[in-house]
Amino acid sequence: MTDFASTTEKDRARLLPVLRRSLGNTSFTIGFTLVSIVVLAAILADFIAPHDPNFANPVIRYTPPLTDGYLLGTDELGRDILSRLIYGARMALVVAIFPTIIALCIGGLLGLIAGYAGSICDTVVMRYFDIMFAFPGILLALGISAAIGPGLNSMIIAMVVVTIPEFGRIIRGVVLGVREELFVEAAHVLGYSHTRILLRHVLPNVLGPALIYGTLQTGRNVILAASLSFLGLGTQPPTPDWGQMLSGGRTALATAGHVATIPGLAIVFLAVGFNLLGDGIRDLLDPRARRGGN
Amino acid sequence: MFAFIIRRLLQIIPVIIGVTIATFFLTWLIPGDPTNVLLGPGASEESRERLRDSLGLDQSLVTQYLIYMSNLLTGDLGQSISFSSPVSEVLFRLMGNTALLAGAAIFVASVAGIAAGTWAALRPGSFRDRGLTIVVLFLNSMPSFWLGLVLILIFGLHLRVLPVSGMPDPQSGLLTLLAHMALPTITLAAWSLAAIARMTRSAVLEVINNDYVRTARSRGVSEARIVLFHALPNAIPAVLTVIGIQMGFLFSGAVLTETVFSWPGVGLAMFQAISSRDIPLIQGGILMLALIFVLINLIVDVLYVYFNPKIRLN
Repeated sequence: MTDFASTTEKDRARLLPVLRRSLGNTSFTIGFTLVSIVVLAAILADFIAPHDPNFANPVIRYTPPLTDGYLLGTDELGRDILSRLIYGARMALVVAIFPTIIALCIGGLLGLIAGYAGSICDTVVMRYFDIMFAFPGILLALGISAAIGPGLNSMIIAMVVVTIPEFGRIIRGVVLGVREELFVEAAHVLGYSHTRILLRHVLPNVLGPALIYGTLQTGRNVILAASLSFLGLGTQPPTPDWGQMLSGGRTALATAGHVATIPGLAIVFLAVGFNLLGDGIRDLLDPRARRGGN
Repeated sequence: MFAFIIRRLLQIIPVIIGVTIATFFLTWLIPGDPTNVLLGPGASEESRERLRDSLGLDQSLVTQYLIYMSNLLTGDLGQSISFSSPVSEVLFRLMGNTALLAGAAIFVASVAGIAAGTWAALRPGSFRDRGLTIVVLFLNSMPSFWLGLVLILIFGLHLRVLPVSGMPDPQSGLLTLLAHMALPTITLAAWSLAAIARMTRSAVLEVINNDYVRTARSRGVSEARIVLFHALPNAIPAVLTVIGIQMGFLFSGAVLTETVFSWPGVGLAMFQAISSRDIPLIQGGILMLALIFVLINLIVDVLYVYFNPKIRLN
């Protein structure tokens, strides 16, 4: 019991400088703040949204922003845009983070195996990646979700399929480097099993790049998901979704420009957040690769 | 050089076969009876049976793929439901419009991107350098269709200086065409511009402190000459690679841009195909754009070697 307490104490002592260093990094701090705001909005949606996001009131449709009671105005059905934006944060986070995690697991595993096992395994996996890279991401995602039929599930499947090779190639590259390190060679000499070497010696070195590229990909996924939604391939109405809100506002661009522009700002807000967060994590984890260089 | 091109050509054969396998599998992803979707809801049982037969739907996957391939090789991409004409015909008719837009966009993105990247690299860490970093961040975090809508709102609806949709017929002259192309081109170019600017910046930064640049400077060569004749040519191979990759993406990014601006290209047709579940058209469009993507990458690889004597002479 006392042992346990002392380790958490030690962890806390170690955590403090990390926290201080993280907050000293501008990209990280701004990115973290932006993403946190969206996460909080998503969690607290039930408490902070001023109206029911799906309550339509055609009488007040296209109310301009800054109207009493409707801070950001209303959309084509007279629904409160602010409330839909707040509830839409949930879907935006789900479709950005969820496919990233699944793709990272599958792609990471493929990259790990390809990089570590080498030879025929590597060739097969890399050929598969080459073929996937022959498709521009949005195109393949469009084809897959159109074939399965529009909806949240098919959109997530499509996004996962598209991002697997991205992660696979990055992780493979890292593993190829780690494999040559002295400590891996030492582990081989000591007669450790491949599983043990992979899990205890290779995997920990992969986690950093996985976190960096995972965060950056989440930023790209915000946009990819919004694009698929915009094309009518994402979540179906009436679920509040930023991409869909944007395409809903297109028809009234001339009379009520806010309906289409405001959800776009939310998308940019979240995407900038994840991109800065990813850059920040990269700076913190790998000070050599400072952003100044490339 | 010649041997390299041949080797590279041979290398893309398996990739192209892989691409056709992937597009072939799209039909397989359709839930239920694919003939429902492929022929549209109103088709008779008889025509369904005929299609099932001709696609080999009751046979093994391998046979189905071979049938798909042999159809492809004869230029048969199936029948488009929404256009009620062969997919290949629709695609070839519209491809020119998409290529026009993509070409204009890559031109704008390259010129502006290289200029902005070089400009920033000459004063690393300065106000304008950091400014560029921020602009790049925003362009990278911006959905292109949203940028398009904002441009329409500003230039089309408020200032009323530019047309916002469609493509004029050829008789109306070059100026009208260019006016119609302005907003879609900027929208499509934005993302690539960011990528090209960032790459140019780091490529120029890498060469600007080299000995030959320092020598030129010590000889009193003007700064403009140094940039144009000493730094940029050595940064070109890296920049060229990004331009090539971006060009491939532009063709697919056209789906969104053409939708926003109702530009009659392959992208708009594919968008319309989504709502009418015109899978053959989507399938054909994807195949065609992916092949263009592969082809552009091949050309870029060849150019990269050509501009890089170190690799070329080995």
